[in-house]
Amino acid sequence: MGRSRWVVLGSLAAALSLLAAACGGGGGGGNQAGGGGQSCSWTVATMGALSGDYASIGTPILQGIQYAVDQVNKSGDLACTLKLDKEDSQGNPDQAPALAHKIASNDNVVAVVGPYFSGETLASGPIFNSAKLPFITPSATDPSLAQQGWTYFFRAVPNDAAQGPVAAEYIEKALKASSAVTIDDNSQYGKGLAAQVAKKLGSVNKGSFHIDPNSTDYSSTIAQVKSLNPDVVYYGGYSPQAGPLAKQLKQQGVAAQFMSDDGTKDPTFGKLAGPAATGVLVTCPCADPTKLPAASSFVKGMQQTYGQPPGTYAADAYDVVQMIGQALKNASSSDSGTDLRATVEKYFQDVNGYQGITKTYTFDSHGEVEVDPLRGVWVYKWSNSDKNFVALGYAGQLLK
Amino acid sequence: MSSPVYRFFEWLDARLEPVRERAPRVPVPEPVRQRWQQGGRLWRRLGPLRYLVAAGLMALIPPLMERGWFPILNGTYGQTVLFNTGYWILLTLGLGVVVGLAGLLDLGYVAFFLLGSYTTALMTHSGAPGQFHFVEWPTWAALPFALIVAMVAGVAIGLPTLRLRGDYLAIVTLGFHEIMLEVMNNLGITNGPRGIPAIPTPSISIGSFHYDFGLNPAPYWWFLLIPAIILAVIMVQRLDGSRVGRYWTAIREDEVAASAMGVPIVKMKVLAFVIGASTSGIAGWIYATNVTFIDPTSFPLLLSVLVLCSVVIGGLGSIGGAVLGAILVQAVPEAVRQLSGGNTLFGFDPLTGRIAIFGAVLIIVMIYRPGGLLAARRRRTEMVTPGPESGVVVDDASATEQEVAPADDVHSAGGRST
Amino acid sequence: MHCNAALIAPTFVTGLILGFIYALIALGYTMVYGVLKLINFAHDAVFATGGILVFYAFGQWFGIVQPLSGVSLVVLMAASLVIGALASAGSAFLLERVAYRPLRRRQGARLSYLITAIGASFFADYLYQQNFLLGPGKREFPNYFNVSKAFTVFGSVVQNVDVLIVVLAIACLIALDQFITRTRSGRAIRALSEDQVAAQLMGINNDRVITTTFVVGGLFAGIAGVLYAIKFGFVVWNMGFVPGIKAFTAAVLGGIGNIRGALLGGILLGLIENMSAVCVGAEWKDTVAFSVLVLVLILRPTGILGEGIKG
Repeated sequence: MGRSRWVVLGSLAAALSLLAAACGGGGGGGNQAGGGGQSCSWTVATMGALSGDYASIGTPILQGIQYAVDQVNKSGDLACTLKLDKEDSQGNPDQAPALAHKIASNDNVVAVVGPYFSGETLASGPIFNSAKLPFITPSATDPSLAQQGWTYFFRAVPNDAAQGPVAAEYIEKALKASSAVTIDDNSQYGKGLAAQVAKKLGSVNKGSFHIDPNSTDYSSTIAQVKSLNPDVVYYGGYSPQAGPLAKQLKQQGVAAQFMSDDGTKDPTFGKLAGPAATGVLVTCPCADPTKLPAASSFVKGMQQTYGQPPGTYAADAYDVVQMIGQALKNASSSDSGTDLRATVEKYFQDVNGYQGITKTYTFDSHGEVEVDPLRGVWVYKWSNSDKNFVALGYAGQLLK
Repeated sequence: MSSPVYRFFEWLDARLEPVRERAPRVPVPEPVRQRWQQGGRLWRRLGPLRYLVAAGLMALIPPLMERGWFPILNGTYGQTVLFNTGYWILLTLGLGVVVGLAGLLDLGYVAFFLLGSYTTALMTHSGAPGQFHFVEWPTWAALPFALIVAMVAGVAIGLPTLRLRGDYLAIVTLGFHEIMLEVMNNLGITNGPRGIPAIPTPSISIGSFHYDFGLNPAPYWWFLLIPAIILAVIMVQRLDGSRVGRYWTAIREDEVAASAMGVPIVKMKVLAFVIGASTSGIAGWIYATNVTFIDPTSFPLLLSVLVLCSVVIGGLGSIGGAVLGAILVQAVPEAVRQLSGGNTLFGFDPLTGRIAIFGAVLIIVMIYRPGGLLAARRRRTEMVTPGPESGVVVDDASATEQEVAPADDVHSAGGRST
Repeated sequence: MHCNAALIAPTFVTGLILGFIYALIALGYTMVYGVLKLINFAHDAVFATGGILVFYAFGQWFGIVQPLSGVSLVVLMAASLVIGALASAGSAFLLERVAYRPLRRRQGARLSYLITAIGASFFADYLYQQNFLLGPGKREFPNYFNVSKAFTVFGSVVQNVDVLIVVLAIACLIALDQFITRTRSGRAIRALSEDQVAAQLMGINNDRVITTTFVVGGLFAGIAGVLYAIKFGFVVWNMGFVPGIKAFTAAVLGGIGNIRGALLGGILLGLIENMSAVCVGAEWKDTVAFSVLVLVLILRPTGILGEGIKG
């Protein structure tokens, strides 16, 4: 009789007893208790690229959310403290479902600010929606997100279908370009946006090209672009590729105005583009809080807390958290997280003209924020002295 | 090279020499490990019943997670990690057949997984209106096709690469994965980089009874993954113990001799690919129907390497090794990540740092435990006593490369004859 | 397919320059394969190490950010090439000692070497990705070498760094050629690549020769790494991965183990890549590159110039 026989018998017995215990016992485990007692709390969850390749995009948004949560708690308007639950998906859609389940099954969570990227929203959206958990994204701009039939989905910024045509109009009217070329990185975000721009440009667009984001030498694409001699080159994609692309375009003697999107709008662009960064324009469906009087205390507070001005979409994320705070104003401390999910959802559905620091918020039946694209999309220019993009204004101002 | 530097390294070598000598040339089989692998008399006597017992134990995990019996991994989150580990076990078993049993280094294995998922998406009512579909059939109907497509791809990649030696085969399979990614990313019918959302989840409707699997991972684990894993295990065990398994061993050890003995090299290699691809085809269907959204970035090259890691670290050619490898690569890093609360551990980011650690573990495992942590006993012996290189080009007409065994090191104590 | 004839000439030029970089990296693959019959998957990390160490040396520790000129530039360039070469050579040395030699001692199976190589490559790459090293993003390379236009040929602008790349690559190849054919170590390498047992009987210290092979391959990869970082202006944790695969394809294309083959393969691959990107679109680059590899392996496995470490 070997030891292993007893091991097997023992584990069988253990399994049976566990089964008995499982059927007999009750109660839940692994969920945080909320409400009641002297200090209660509700949780706002956020999910996005907090580390990894896209951390430079996710971190500013997280900062905006964190700051907003602290402000809401400081104001003392709510019956309970708001806590922030950060989940790091690294921007990957295959990380998203596990984290989404984790958030959704946490009974203390009242809303999700995020996800930050469109891919992970597509992967986690069904889970949030079926858990009746409102998820408001401050940055995912793929138009198809609002077409999935998710009642609990809201988007706080204009989507690519708004940004693309505005960029095209800017190219035609403000830059007075007679010929343009679009390049994209063949990714979910870049390709879609460049296609929107190309569509609106119509015959002004002389060609649409792709680059391989994994390679570093774009010379073949650049040769094609150069042969068309365009006035403007619009790039749909992110700064790690946009920077070297702009640099190589200049090196190869392409004199066109380089223009890109919100994925390029961060300081790394300048580092990678070097001297080619001068004069580069980007569009962004995000307002520059430093140019808005309503946002001045936000800007000051962020500067004090993090030592740098707020990054892309930080202000919009701040607005979202503030709105969640508004939704919870009348909630009592005995309300549980799950009860309040319906309250938050109702708030976002019904809100009409909430004055945020970046824009006025009303959401349509698909969850899109109703904002005139010409007011919602801003144009920025690279500033060598600030080593970052500085706002020129919103499109409506510049296209007069 | 400067002489002092060289002498320093010689000194280092001398320091390491005693350590290396202590490592056994042929690992002595430990009685307990041996017993465990054979299963002990009771386990063997259970016969086919042991699969039911295993299935029963596996089925218990989700309710235990609900009740918080597992540290860190509990509730629906834990079940999702369990689901991930489940399909990872399927992948590891499949690649285990290719690498562990047949000895073919496949660096692009996840391409079959990708094909299974995309087949599922393109044969069901998925995606936005206007999404191309081959047909729009119920989700279950896509399952056999996911399997078939993956297996056909296995044949397609196996046939032309047969004659290639191990190193080249690795690069070519890696290339196959990259090509598949590019094709899925560039073609319009797969919706390119936007991916295909809204893949319908499986559901059962019999008369008035309707059950939709939904998004909760538990039903997938119970009704899909457990049967699939058990079936895959049975298949692998049967193959291993059959003539096919012996053919694979022969090919693995000495292809020229095997060919001379009449082993049908071509067929066996392709068969290995096909069997390997079959489990990942099924895993692809299960994955796609649970996550309901797939895009090319869900199947990066890194996944192929991670599956290889779990095969190698767990144990080449052993079932227990496959399970252990899957747990080490999928479940443990998740648990560590939750423990660390998103902070770095010793400077290592939990998500990406685990890959650096796996790389180092691969090296260590290959040096000290070449068969993997839970290696099949036979395999362990093999990896240490080499024959002439495997993967020799059999076709004599084109063979111009020389086959030279690694240098017989005259410095090593107790020289062995190759 | 919409190949524009006017674009062939400029892409030819850029493809050529890229090809020289691939050739330099391919030397490492080719030499190790010639001697050990092993694809050193981890060579991509060796390549990256050179550029990364120079990034740290002059970018982080010495903080040189302004373009230099004249004597100081020459000195700094020489220093960075030397540092890069030594760094890569050192990492190749370490790789051989830590990962491959123990396997040789234990007479491991072929599969073990491959798996170890993959493990080493991923260990190094993801180690570089950690925040205490490079981090996940692209890091700007110190721009002490002001990349500027040298001249225009066939409608393509050639930068001064491109000229340097071509010159250095050719110089390195000549140097390696001389090393292989004229020096004792070179002869030993050739002997080892032909017949390991006989070489040993002739009194050659196999271990030392193998180490030399790795180190020499590493030297050239390091030079390539520094030049690559200067040309593109950044280093990144996975900068070696794609060039590594391309360089390996180049080595196979030209004839694995053959040094002239590495050059030929590199140039050919650079040209094929760029021209195909123009004709079918840059989004199919990987497919083209790998298809070329598969075709070569199936149709002519020994490559264009054949195998064997000949000069």
